[in-house]
Amino acid sequence: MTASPSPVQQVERLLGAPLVASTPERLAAFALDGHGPALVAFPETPEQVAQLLALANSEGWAVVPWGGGHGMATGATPARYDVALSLARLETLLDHDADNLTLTGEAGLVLDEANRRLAEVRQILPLGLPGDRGSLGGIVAAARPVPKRLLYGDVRDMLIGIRVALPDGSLVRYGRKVIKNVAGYDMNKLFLGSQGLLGVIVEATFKLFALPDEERYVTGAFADLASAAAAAGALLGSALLPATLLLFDGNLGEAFLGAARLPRCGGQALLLAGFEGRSATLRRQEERARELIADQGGQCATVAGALPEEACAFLRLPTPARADAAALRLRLGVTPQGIVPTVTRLRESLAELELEAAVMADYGSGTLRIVLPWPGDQAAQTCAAWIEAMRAALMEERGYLLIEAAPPALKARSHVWGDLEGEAEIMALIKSRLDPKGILAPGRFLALP
Amino acid sequence: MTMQDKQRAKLIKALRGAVGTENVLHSQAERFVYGYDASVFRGTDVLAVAFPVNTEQVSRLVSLAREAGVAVIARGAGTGLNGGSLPLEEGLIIACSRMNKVLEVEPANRVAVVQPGVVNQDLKEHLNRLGYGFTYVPDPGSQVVSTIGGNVGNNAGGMHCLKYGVTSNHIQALQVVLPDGKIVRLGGKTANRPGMDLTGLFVGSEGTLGIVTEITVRILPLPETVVTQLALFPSVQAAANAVSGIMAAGILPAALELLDRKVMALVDKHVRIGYPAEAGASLIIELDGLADGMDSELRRVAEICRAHQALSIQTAQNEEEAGKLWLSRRAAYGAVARISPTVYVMDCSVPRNLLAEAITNVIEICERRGLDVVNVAHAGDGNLHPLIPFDRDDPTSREQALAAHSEVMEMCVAMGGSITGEHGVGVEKQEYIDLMYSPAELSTMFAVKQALDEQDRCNPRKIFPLAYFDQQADSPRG
Repeated sequence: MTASPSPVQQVERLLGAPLVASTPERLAAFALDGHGPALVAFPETPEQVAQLLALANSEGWAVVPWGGGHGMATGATPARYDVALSLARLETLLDHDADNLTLTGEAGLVLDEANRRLAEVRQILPLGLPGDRGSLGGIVAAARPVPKRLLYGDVRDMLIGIRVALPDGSLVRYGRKVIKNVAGYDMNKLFLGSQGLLGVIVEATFKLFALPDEERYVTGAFADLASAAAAAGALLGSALLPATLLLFDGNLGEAFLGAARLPRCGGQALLLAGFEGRSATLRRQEERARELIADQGGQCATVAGALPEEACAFLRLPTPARADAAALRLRLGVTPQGIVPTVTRLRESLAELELEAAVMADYGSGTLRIVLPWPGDQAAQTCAAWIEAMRAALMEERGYLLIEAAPPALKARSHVWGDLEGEAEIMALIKSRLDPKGILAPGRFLALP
Repeated sequence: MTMQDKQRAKLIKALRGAVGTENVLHSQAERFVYGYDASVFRGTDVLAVAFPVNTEQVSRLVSLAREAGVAVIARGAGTGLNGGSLPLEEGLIIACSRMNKVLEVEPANRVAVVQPGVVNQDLKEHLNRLGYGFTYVPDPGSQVVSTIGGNVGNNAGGMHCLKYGVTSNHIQALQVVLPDGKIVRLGGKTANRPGMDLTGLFVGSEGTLGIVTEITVRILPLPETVVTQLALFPSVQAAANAVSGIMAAGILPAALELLDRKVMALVDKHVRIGYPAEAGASLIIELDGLADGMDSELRRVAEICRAHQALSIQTAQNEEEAGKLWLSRRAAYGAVARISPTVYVMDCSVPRNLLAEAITNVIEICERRGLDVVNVAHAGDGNLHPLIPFDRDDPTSREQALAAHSEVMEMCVAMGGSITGEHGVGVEKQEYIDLMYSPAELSTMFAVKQALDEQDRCNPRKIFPLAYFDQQADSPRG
C-alpha cells in the first residue's frame, strides 16, 4: 500500500514549501480557542487561493481564512479546523484611480498602508482610524463598523467591487470601478459580513473620499449618560455634520482622555464630538457643539485637532486575536434612542451579578461596545444567561448582541451571533449552494456545518 | 401552460378569500393592462391581479399560488423600463399599490418604516409635512409615480447618487415574503447587523428572490443650504473635463447633470432657459451642506468651470430659479418624446473620466446606423442616458435601435463600466448580462436564485439569460 501524502505535503506540493507552515510555534499563532490547524498556508496570488480551496474541497478539509487576525476571536470554537488560509501575502495595492476616486486592493492589504499611499494625493479610504492594521478583506468579511460612519457611511457604502475564491476553485468578480451598476444581484453585499463562510475574498474595490483639510474634536463631561446622550442627540438632529459622536460611560471616559492627552474632567459620562472637512465649516460646528454640550450641563469642553495614535488605538477597543481569558467583549446594536435605556438595563442587571462593564457607545449608529472582566469559568452559566436575557430584549426591537470575544466556556453556552432566525436560514440556504461540503469556517457562525 | 378552467376558478375563489373579492381582478379587460409597463416590452396574459393590503395577505397569496404551481410577479407602479414587472408566463400579479402607508417616522433614529406601495414623492411630502426637517433622499426620474417597493426592487438611482448613493445606501431593513410564502425580516433599525448583508442583496434583485412588504428607510436631515448653478460649455468634452476638475479639487457636489446641445434645444422649447447657440453642453451643478464656506466653494467651482472653457456660469438666486434649472433636466425625456412616437431610453455607466469619450462613441454608433441621439448624463457618476428617437412600428428603425443599444452596452463594458447604471436588467438586458460576467460568475449568482427559488416561481425568467431557466427545467433534479 502506497502512503498517501499528508495534507501538509499536498499543500507544499501545490504552493511550494516556503508558503506553508506546520511547526507547533507557527501554528500556535493561528489557534482558535486553543484549537490549532494542521497547517497554515500563505498563498501569494488569487489563483493559488482558488487552487488551495479546490484541493481542500476535494479532500474535505475545514478552512478558516485569516486577514490581519484582529477579528478572529469573534466566532465560535470551530467544529473542525484543518487549514488556516492566511491572506497576508496578498497585499498589493492593485489600482488607485485618483481621477475616479477608486481603489482596488488585495485582501491582505493593510488599511493603514493603503491610506499612507492615498494621503500622498490627499485622498482617503475612511474605513478606520489612523493606525488601523486591519486588512481590507477582513474588514469586508467582518462588515466591521466604520468609526466615522456619520460622514462616510458604512463598509457597504464604500464597497463597489469584490473578487472571491470559491470552494469549487473558481474565482469570481462582481462590481466595477463604477458606482452606478445594477447588473444582476448585488453580490458585493452577499460577501460583505460573510465571515469567510461563502468564499475567500481576494480583492476588493472601494470608492474614496477627499482627505479633509482639518479635524476638530470637542469633548464634554456630564454627570450622567442621559445628559451626554441628550447632547449627542441634539447634535445629530441639527444641521451640523458630525463625523464622530461617541459616548463613554464611567471610567472609560477618563481613560480615553488620558490616551488623547487631554485634561481629565471627572463626570460619569463623556461625549466626544468630531468634525472634519473644510476649515471654514469647522469653527461654527465647534462653537455650536460647545453650546449644545453646555445646554445639557456638560462641563470641561476641550477642543483638539486630530487625535493622537494612542487615542485612535484606544477607540478601536481592540479585540484580541485569540480568546482573551480575562475579558468578555460584546457589541450591541440598538438605535441612538435605545442607547440610554439599554445601558441602564445593562448596568442594573450586571449589578445584580456584581459585575462591572466599560461601555462605549457610537451614538450615530446606535452601537454599543462593552468590555467586562471575565468572572471565571464557574460563572459561565450565569454570564450566558445574562447574555441571552439582554439579547432577547434587544431582538424584540430588531437589535442584536454579538459576542466579539469570550473564553471558550462562554462560547460553549452562547451563540456568537444569537438567533438570527429567518436571516440565518437564508444564509444557510445560500451557503449550501456555494459551499456544499461545508469546508469554510464550519461551526464558527452558523449552527449548520 | 394554461390552467384548466376548473382549477383557475378554484384559485380565483381562494385569492378572493385571501384579500377580498373587490381586491382581485380577473376579467380579460382588467388583466390586459397588467401586460404592460413603461418598457417597450409586452407581457403575457395573467390569471389574475391581486391587491393585498398587508404582509400576511401577501404571504397567503404567495402560498396559494405556490400550491397551484403558479408564478407570482410583484408590481409597484409599473414605471420600470426593463420589463421587470411584466409576466412572462400565466401567473398571479401581486400589485402592492394598496399597501401605501407610512408606518413609522423616527427622526431621532434617522429611520422611517413604509409599506412598499408608498410613492417616492409622497414619502418626501409626508416627511416635509411632519416638519422635522428630514427627507428621504433617493430621487429617481420616476419619483412622482414610482413606489418605494419598486425603487427597492430595482435599486433605483437618480440625480443625487454621487454624494448620497443609490437606493441601497438608504435601505436599512426589509420585511420580505419569500418564494415559499415564509415571512422574514432582514436587517434592523440598527446598522452593522451580524452576518451577510441580506438587505443589500435583496435591494436590486428585481422581485426575483421574494416580495418586499415593509421597508425601513434611512432619513436624513435636510442640508442647511442648497445652491444650484448652470454652467455652459462649448462641448461635452469641456463639460466632462470640468466635472473631473471639480472632483479633483476635493469638492463633492450633490448633483452634476449634463445635457448635450440637442437636448438643450428640445427642452428650451418648453422650459425656456434661453440656451445660446454656441453651447455644446450644459452642467447643472448642485452643492449642499453648511452655509459656512459655501460662497468660496461656489467661487472655486466657477473658477474650475472657466478654466475648462465655460461660456458662462450662473447661480440660481432663489428656489424658483433653481426649480427652473432642474425642470430643464427632468423634462428631457418628455421633450424628446414629443418629437418621436417612441424613444429608446438607454442606461449604461462608465468610469467618470471616460464619460465624454463614451458619449462621442454613442454619437458615432448612432450616426453609422442612421439614428438620431440626444444625451443626458449623471456626469458625476459616469451614468449616461442616450435617448434615441425611433419608430417601433418600422422594422428597420427598430432593428437599428436595438443594434445600436447592443453596441453601446459592449462599448461601456469594454471601458470598464456596466450595461446598466440604474434601470436594471429585467427582460431588456437579460441576454446581455453575460457581457458583464463569466459563466462561473453568472452561475454563482444563479445559485443564489436557486437557493431561494429553485422552481423560479417568483418573477420568473428575469435577469438571467433564458437558457439558464430552460436548462434548469430540462435537467433532472437530484
